[in-house]
Amino acid sequence: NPYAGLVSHLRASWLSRKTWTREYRMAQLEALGHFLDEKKQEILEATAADMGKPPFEVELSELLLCKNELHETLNNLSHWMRDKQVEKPLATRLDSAFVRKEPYGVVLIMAPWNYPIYLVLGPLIGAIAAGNCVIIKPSEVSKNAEKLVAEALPRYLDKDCFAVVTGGVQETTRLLENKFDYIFYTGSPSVGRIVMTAAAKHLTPVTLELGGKNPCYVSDTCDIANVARRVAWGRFFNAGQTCIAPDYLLCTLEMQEKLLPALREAITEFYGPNPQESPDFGRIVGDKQFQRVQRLLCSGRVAIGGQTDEAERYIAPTVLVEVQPSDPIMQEEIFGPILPIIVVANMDEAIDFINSRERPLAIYAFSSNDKVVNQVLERTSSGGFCGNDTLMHVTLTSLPFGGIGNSGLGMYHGKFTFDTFSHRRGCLKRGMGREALNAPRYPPYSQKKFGIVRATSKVARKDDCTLL
Amino acid sequence: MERMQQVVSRARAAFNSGRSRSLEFRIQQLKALERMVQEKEKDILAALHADLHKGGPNAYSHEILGVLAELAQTMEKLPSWAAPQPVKKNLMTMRDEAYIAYEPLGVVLVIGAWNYPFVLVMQPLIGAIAAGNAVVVKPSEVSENTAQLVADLLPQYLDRELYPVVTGGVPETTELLTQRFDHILYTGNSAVGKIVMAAAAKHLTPVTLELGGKSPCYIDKDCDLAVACRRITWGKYMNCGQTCIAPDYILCEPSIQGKVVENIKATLQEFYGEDVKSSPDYERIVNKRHFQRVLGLLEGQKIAHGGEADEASCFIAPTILTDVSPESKVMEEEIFGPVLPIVTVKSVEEAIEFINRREKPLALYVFSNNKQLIKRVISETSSGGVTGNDVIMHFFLSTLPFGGVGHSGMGAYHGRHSFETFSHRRSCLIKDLKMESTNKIRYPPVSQKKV
Repeated sequence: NPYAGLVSHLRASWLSRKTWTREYRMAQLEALGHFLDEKKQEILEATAADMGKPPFEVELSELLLCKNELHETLNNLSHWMRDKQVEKPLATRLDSAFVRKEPYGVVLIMAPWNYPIYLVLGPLIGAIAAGNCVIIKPSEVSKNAEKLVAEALPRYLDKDCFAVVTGGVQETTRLLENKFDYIFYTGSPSVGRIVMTAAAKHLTPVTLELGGKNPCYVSDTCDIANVARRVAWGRFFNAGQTCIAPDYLLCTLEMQEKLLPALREAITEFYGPNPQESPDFGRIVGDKQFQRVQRLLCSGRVAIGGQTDEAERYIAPTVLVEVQPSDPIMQEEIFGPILPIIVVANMDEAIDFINSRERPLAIYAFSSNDKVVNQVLERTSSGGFCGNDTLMHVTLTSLPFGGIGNSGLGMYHGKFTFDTFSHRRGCLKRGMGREALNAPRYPPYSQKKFGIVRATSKVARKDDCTLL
Repeated sequence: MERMQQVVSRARAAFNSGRSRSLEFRIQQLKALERMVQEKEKDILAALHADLHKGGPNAYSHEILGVLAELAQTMEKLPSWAAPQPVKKNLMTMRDEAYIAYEPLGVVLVIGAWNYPFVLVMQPLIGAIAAGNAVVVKPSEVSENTAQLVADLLPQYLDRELYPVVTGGVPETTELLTQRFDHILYTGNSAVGKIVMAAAAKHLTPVTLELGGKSPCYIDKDCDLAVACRRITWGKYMNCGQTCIAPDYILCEPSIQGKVVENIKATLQEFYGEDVKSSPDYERIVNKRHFQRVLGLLEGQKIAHGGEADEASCFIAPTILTDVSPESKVMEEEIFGPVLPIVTVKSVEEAIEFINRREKPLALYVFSNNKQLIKRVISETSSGGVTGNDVIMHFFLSTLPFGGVGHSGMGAYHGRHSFETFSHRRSCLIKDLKMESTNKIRYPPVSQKKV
């Protein structure tokens, strides 16, 4: 077991309890802030090298979102750490009942390549805030970001309690043989199953942030230009490599005809007449992924874009029409800058289409009619939902972020990350006195005692149970 | 076994019909459950007596009272629990609607245990129904009378397609676990917990595992021993020790070991009389296999009290062991029987170290007049839950999440925590199609100014 030494080193630090104090956690978190500030240039360069990530996208999605999480956590940590008093039924007014938030121990965070800084730091902030020791496993696919995280991040954190492990499938498999007290994984459903199966051997709780095909329904009544911009922005951000990107569009044939020119215009507005020359449009992360996404172009017919350049791993912002549900592009999460449009007769058909598939991480619905948006929301199920926009629900740290079914289990962001990495321990502290009050619960049970217990339970409706 | 697949498919079709979603429907089903418990009280008590030799008053307090309270609280609070929760917005989303919607997960599986066979099926069922799910109920086959009763009663009171009961043993449960569920709540032991989680992993099904372990009970020199021992005796020997949160073993300094034994002995006399076997308030071990297992733990031990056993009736007397070695068999596995080992430690530090060297237990108990000491024991150890200066009682406070950590489990339930366990918290952000100007700042092309 090549990682046994590392894990036991961290476990020894864990047992020393140094991660428990608020001061310690705040110091580590502040250090993460310094990492983001001092290594900003390196982050820009690494993500540009890995997937041509435009600087503005890095600012927004890798830096700003991290900073928001960090500030939210630093501002509220004391409050979050405090024991939470709970309501007590009448008989226990003299007792003290509260929930303690306790760290789990040594936790593992496995991050993907598409937002290699945000998807490491986001969970890491909460794991540290909750008082855990952490092993971080960045993705080997985003090679430059992996190198940056492995070399620079440990210099900012306490090496006894936090470590970065690099490597591919083999190394990850060996790493998962170890016992962790929590595993947080972001990636694909198929690897999610492998992670949870490995976790089951040690009864390790998990959070799995997975993916799926996020549908985007556009109704016939809407402001077409605005819809086109918002959808295009969400689809083509990071060259489509976003777990909550609108994966495919559902609309009537009529709407499709109106949307196509609007989408064309939005794409030109964003990236100019030749997106390959725009500094604001990204690239596919690797050759393997490029080839996978390129193959999906054969579905339906190219209405906008379709150009590719293998040398640059460039795929143009593309819209496909005449796509059938059986086409290759509808069988897997696209994770690329291609937007297929599936024509439906009406909203009901769109909802049925969505419900016949695995539950996605996000569902989007566009309409000027509130009722339509609400119908789609109420009659479907997904991790999260955004009406009349794309991606934006992820920017609110007060909203829990997570999937359902194939798109994941558990959630995080803001306080939810702290909660995810904490064990909520229910505590009841009683006094030794007033033993007479306990008498009804002790044997021998006479009919009289039984009568008392029963009678006192009859007021259960308004006041709580008085077994206590 | 096609039957399992059919049962689950029917439940899924029933869920997809949408009828379990309205609050009215859920409350109607919960009311029906309440009627069932009230109308069939006699039958429920009879089944519990047949399975565990549990006396009426005891069974009522432990299994029925709690269920009625949970039903009442859930029906009253459900509208507020299920209401969408608005969240704090930022500048960019100021004009939008942002909230968390509580939605059912779909078809959930509840696997019960044999030691409190009624409440351990009912309490999760209540939460699962309240959250709007379809629920497949699998009571433990070991408590066969209660299992049969649940299988007979539920269809008489509840929607048959949405809340089917599946009975059977290991082969049936294994088959059931190959089906796809949207949440599984399992109560039982760690070994099977791993199997349940591995099966769930194939479908990416979230799980709540209510497992067990050895719940330690530390008695400080400075405490009212008579009171402490009475409370411990109650919690240890109830249900013949077959309680997941029973104080499994005692840790105390050698100087008070003798007094602890004396006090427990006196309390046992008070509770069960001279002849425990003839007390209607003392239960039996559930079956011969567990009887043999528990008796085996006494081998080589110093029996300070009890030790009598009768295989024919699966009777084991309330037993106390003293000067128990930490390496002995009785200190290796969860006892789940009326055997109370006392392990002596020199100090509270040693007690804490002892506890921390072992797997995290479901419950932890500490008795002391010294509030600082209690605080210290709690903060320097880990466990699912804690009761200070008593045992078991944190279980009955439904505002406290009830669950384990590490080997003793994952996830929690009771009261609102059940509702949340069986719900999906869906983030919702509803924006306006107008106000596009505020969006322009995020669109390319990007000038330095935007950055």
